[in-house]
Amino acid sequence: MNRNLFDDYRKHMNEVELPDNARESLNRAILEERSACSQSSAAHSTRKRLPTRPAWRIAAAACIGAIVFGCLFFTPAVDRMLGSDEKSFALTAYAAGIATENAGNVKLALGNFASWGGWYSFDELAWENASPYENDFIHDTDMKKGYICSIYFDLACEGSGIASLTYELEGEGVYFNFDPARDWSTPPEDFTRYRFTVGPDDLKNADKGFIYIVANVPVEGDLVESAAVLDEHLERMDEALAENPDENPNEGFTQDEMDAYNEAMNQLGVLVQTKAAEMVGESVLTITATFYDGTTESHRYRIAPVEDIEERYQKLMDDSRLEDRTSLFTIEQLS
Amino acid sequence: MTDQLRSEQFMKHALDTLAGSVYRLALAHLRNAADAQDVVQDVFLSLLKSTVEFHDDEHMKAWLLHVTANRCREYHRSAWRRRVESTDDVASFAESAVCDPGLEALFEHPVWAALAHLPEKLRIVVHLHDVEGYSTEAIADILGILPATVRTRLHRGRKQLRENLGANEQAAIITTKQKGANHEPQPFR
Repeated sequence: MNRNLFDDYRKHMNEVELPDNARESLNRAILEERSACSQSSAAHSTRKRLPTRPAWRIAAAACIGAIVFGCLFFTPAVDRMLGSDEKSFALTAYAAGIATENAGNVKLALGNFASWGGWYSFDELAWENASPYENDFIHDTDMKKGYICSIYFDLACEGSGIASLTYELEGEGVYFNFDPARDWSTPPEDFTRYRFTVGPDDLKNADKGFIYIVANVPVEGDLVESAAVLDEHLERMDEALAENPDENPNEGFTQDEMDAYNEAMNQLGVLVQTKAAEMVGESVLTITATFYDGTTESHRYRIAPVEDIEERYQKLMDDSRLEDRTSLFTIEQLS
Repeated sequence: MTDQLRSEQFMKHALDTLAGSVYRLALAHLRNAADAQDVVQDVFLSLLKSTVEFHDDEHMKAWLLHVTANRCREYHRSAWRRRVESTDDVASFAESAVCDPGLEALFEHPVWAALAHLPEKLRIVVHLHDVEGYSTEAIADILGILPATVRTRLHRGRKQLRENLGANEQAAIITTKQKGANHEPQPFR
């Protein structure tokens, strides 16, 4: 490399500063945040605005307070799960769930404890250097081409005498992902894609980051047709952009082609997220509480989609303002 | 979630001394001024709410750059969704670049063009090491990867950059002769 050329680039880059208008905008955002914070009460803190976080997280955070502290006292399951023992624990989502069948049945609705975290495409061939899994967000499950779909579940636990909680996930194509959110100095202990340990309240604290369950959904079966339409469309867009970066790459498409593309996108969105939910439903989540006296207790859970999740999810996609997601998943304590 | 926010004095100091570094990293990562400014805002709002105790400015800078790198990767993912969901926005991305003489000079620089063809994970390491001047160990902390991985990526990044620059210089010579001063980057293979 020409050293002088790079020195010149470094000089140019180091002269770049945040523009005044961006600084002013940032100052305004900080002021708004201060204002919102000063107006909030202690109870309010659980729904403090997170300006640029995905909406599903905001919704999840907003619901935790209401559901944990509301359902905790009204759901019969809670007393049964936690009791008055000095040592006890249960997954809050399970304990605070709403029974889907007769009393006594341990299968509970997951309610607002679940939310979608987005999905994006993956194609091993697109990684020129043959090391795609160096990417922090992608974990190798032998998938060559497909979609990586994150689902956020509130995995916090309630109980007493808990020193730490260890989470383990067993299932094909599914794994944990950790987003440090704000405080990157406090990742879960020994975090791996299939196991991690946290303090008893860590997963209730947004500052400690978020845990997703991620499913690598391969392109096969129902997904093939929609994925092919998408790939072809994106390929033509790339070609159009390469040819003329300043033009709208969609201008070369006919209305019929755009309609077909949009329909394929909608279908794919539903199919990918439904398939991801099914993959999660085939996995088993084991949570082990280690109590202060050194003893441990484990519970195994299955978080599964409802049978008609595809239809229900489509309905949700058609009207994103729908807030009732209570029936998308159920949670069952296996042992 | 915290109720206590950082003081005005703290935030002013952080913005005065570190906003540039955060912006440059976001710019190197996302290669779009408007997107980079979005990330800067998100990062400093995170700082506002963060309860991390910093030993000194260098510690805070490392934290900010780490959060910036994470936000940029998230931004790419959400950008992909935007792209496939609302492709009309693609053209407006190009139009949204802020008119800034410093940025224009940067965007026309051949190294900027050559960096465009580096995978983002290599580009970010080259930026942190060769522009911001961080050691491989410090970059490992910032990105949460092993120092050996940083060294590998730096080596590969520099090598690809050299090759890209060679290709671009050739392309620039050809296009300049044919069309005048056109420095559009050419695809690198």
